[in-house]
Amino acid sequence: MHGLAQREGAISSHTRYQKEIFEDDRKNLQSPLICYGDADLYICFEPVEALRRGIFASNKTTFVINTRTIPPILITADLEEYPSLEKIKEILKGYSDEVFFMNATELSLEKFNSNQQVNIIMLGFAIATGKIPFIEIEHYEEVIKEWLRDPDDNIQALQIGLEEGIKIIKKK
Amino acid sequence: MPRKDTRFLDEQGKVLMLGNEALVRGCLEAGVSYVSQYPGTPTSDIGEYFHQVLRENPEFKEYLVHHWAVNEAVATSACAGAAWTGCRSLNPMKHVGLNVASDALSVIALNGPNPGGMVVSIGSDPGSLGSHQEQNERFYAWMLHLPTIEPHTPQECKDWIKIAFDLSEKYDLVFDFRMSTRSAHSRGFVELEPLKKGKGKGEFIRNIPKFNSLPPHAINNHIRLYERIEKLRAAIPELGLNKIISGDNKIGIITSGMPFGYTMEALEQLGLNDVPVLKLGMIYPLNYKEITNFIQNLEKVIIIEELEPFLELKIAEIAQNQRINVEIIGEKFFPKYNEFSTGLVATCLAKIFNKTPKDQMIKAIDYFNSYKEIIPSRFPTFCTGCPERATLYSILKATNSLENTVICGDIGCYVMSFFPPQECSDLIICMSGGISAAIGMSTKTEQQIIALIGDSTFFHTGMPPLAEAVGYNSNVLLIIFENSWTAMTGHQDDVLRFLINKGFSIEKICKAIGVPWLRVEDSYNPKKLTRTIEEALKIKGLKVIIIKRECALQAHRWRMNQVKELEVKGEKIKEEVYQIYNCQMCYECARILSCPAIRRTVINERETMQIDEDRCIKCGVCFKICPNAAIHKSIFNALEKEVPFREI
Repeated sequence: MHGLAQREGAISSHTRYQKEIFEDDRKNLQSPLICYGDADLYICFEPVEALRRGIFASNKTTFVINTRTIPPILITADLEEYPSLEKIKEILKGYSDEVFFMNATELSLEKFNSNQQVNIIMLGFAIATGKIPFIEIEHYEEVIKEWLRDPDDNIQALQIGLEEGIKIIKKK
Repeated sequence: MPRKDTRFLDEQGKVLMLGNEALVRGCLEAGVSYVSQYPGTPTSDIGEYFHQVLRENPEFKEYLVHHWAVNEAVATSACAGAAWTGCRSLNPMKHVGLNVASDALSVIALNGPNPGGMVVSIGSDPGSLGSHQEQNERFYAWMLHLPTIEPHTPQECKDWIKIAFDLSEKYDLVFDFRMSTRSAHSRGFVELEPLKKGKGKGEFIRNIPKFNSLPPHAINNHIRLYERIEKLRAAIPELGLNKIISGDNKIGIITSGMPFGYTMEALEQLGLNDVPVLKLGMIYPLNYKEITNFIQNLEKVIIIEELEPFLELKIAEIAQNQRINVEIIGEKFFPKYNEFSTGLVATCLAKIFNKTPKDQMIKAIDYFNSYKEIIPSRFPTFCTGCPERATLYSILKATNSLENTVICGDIGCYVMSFFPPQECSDLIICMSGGISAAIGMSTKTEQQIIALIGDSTFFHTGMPPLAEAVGYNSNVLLIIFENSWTAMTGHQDDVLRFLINKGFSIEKICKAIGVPWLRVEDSYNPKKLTRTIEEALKIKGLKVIIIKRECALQAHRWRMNQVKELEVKGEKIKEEVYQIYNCQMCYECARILSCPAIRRTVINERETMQIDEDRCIKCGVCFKICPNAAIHKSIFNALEKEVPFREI
């Protein structure tokens, strides 16, 4: 995971895992980073950031994207242009058909009066794609209960993300 | 309450850890008893984990001491001092920190850390992911004779730091444990082993020749250093740090650290599963026989390493000395800058082996290149409500957008001053390089010179150049951001915090040093600050303005906690909301202040600025600077309790 250790910078983090470890070093995952075109799932907290890190996507990739934009400073200053959501969607469709949007920030503000639950709502959305293998919904809940503050809110947020996510994905 | 994190305490088990966490765990298993560092990415969190262990488990205090040092040179000498009483000491620093520490380290390496052991854990940063540059600090290993171990996985971070301490003690050598931003901040599973208590107390035993590296002892210690290195070199094959992934191909690869991972996956991607790979865990010194055995039956050896060739030079030297007829390639095919990736290594290897990478990868690169021009840039910037951003606003106003003005920037959050749209920094050198450059520059130009420095940098190395500027009465305006935190590295409970808690004041230091013109201002009063800067720039000689305002992140956190506590008690709180009506689109808030909580939008077919309420921390600066009075302040519960930002 990395971002220049400052606010407003673009940050991305890669997650990779395998179920069993092989004797032969050549068969195991050896790098923490995904190779270009090899990502199965993108969880994007901001629309234009999906484009910025798009190089890891291909026709096997599913995108789940929070529609809330965080305009970079130069957009507000009218010195650069932020592409429209339609344009972003059109470009991402060039990778794969599986491009889904949800306004997770609005949902979080609506249900919890805070944007703190956006991450967990987006996790629920990601789970709804069925693209995260080996981990059942109970596992997530167990971890939330054990490790997070406000576990009730977070479990509710996970459910909201999952349910809304399923609706959005089914619509397609 | 969330579960307590016991990963640093459990005697056994398999846990998920970051590379840096695993390194700390390894130190606790190795019986390390002194740690000193100045925070710097990617090593800052090492100190935070030690701090966490000590805070949550006071019993560790019996034998473990963690210090946040005022700078890297102090930390390194402090670690040597502890090692010389027979303890094991860890000295983490970022790659450029080594430049500061190298004066001390050059002597300590010569003397040797015995009777204790000492490991310098250096966070390299290929790709300059969290630094002002990506220097290849491995060459220090040659210059100072620092044996260097480079881990690849969190498990290796934990296991190998223990080996580093054992070897440091055994051979009387200071070890470099080389991390990178990527290895420090990647997670993986780690098998734990039992903890070991470090030495609570030691004793310094007088040994004038060993600890006084001046003539004639300097030469003798230099000779002794070579002997120690040669003994270690001979022992390398038994250490289990280097390994071969065998194969029958006549082209082989030598690599280490993170590039090993990219190499293995690139080979898989190209279907080259018969290429033998030598993975070096120890990159300095090299064992001649081990290298010879690997390369002697090959036609070609590819060295895969980030930044300037380091292994390549030594391996070519070994091949030449041993008269082995093998072609050694590396820098000819791989870039000598930036971080590597599987895709990059695959692309370079494809050329060497005349293969084609997977279609999936080529398509991904081509498609990305087809649209990347439309991605708007996203620079890091100051947080909403940052007192440093507000200061830059006042500088821009006071100087008519930097007319006839040079801004000497420095290292800290304000390093970002140069980013558009404010572009309020003309040069960056290093910690306290700004005020230092200003001293020289002011003797040669009539331009107005403003130097910036933060409070942590002021303590790091900022006081000496300020003393010099006083001595020469340099025609410079120095602006000191006193935000009471080492903010850029993540608000460590460091020396600065201790000093502040002890009532220490930068203002008093400036007076004591003899600053002739001194003001203390608050950038949340931008108009007053602007006038003060204008006044300062009219005066010849040294001027200092201290901006006293807490880091907005911490100030906001503190205020929110206060509000929460009071609300739990059933109290009502006075609330402020800032909103924009009748915006004239003059861009004062967007281009000159450039607050990220303000966005440009269209409401009722009219373009306007709008404040994101969930991101605004209510510093009120935009309200005070709007030339058209379009930003309005509404107050709710006006008669209830007010929670202002705290004084620092």
